[in-house]
Amino acid sequence: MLKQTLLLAVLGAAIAALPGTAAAQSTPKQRGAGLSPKCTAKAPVRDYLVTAGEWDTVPKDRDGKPAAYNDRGFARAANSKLERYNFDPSVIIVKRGDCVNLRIHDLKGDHHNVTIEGTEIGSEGAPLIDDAGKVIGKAVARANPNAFEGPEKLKAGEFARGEQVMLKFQANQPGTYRMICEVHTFIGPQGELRGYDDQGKPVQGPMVAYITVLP
Amino acid sequence: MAGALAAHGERETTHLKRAAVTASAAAVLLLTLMLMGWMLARVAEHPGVPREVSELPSWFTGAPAKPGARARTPVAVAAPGEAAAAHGHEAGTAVASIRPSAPLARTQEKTDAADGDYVEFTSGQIEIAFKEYEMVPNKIRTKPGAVTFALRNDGRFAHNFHLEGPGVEAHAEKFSPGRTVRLEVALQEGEYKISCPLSNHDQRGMHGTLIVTSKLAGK
Repeated sequence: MLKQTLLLAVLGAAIAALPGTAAAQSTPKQRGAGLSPKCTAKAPVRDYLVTAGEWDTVPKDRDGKPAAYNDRGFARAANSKLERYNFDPSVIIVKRGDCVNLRIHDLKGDHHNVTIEGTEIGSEGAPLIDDAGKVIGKAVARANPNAFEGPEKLKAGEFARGEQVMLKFQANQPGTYRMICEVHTFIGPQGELRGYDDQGKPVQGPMVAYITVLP
Repeated sequence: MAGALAAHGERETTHLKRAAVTASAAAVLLLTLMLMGWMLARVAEHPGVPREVSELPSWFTGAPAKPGARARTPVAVAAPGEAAAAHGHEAGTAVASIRPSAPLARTQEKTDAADGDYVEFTSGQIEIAFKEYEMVPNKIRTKPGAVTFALRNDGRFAHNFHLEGPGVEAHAEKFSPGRTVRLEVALQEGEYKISCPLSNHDQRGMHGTLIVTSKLAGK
């Protein structure tokens, strides 16, 4: 009697677990690059609007006067500011197999560039879109539309203030990917991100976002 | 007599009791197992939910797996001597002498000390490794004629290749870390500038010089 019930219970549990397991196995497991530039037709689409910004402040002392130091305790030169360059949101979590659309809007800063570590996904040649999502150009080497405030020429992959680029990829491999703006981030030899380049010149970064792909 | 009856009744009750206990235990076990099965099914439905919250799994904190050393040739021709070329250059020379028809087998001698820091490629194939933010080698001398660039991305981010000089302006296609692309160009004598045109890579040091001359120092 007891044996029979036990057997029944085990059988029941196995049957209950079966459809779920089958569903888990049917999730797409593509081989190849972690983030692939093309999405499969059935992949669920996730849209993210990310702003690229640069914000600054003048650190104040207790009396409200500009402090004598700046970032990392460096002596503050006349009129220098403490600057922070960022992506917002800077943490993006998606599931494996999702088709991700990142619309990256240069909200502040003359120009930025975007590339994702370990992949070919980046803003070079990426479509420039307007707010409605209509493609209006490509982020290739070209004249800066805001040339009155910055360099006259944008290099491949750079996009100017007011422009939006669209990065599209399918997240095929779980992991955490770093997306950086190379204009404002220096990558050290070990892959460390720095706000200063190898000459010690500040690049106001690191300007980084983390894209986590859940399994 | 009465005692015997009572004893019999007691035995009956203990028997019943034992059966009841067994049945309830079995029922609890059954319920537990069914609940576990149901929970397993729920968890399997949502594989994205981390099972252990206290300890983050390795994929969460670890860097994404590199695409590896898989060499793909999305741009142009595949080299026939690819497999042989993966070994040292002495081996490559031997292969070339056995099969002289293989045009892209590695036969160049890298005579680094020949002329300053210039590296010479005589076989018609020039191999350049890309890193942040440099090209290795970035001072190159070669002979005029058709040249195949084998561009390998050893870095962490995507790079590209741009060649500019007398009569030539050539681009590769952007290639991601771990990838190798090939670019075929016909070169005249003269000095060429090579660089990575992406963003500010060039001004951070990803550039170099390519001198094409029929009089190589190694000869």
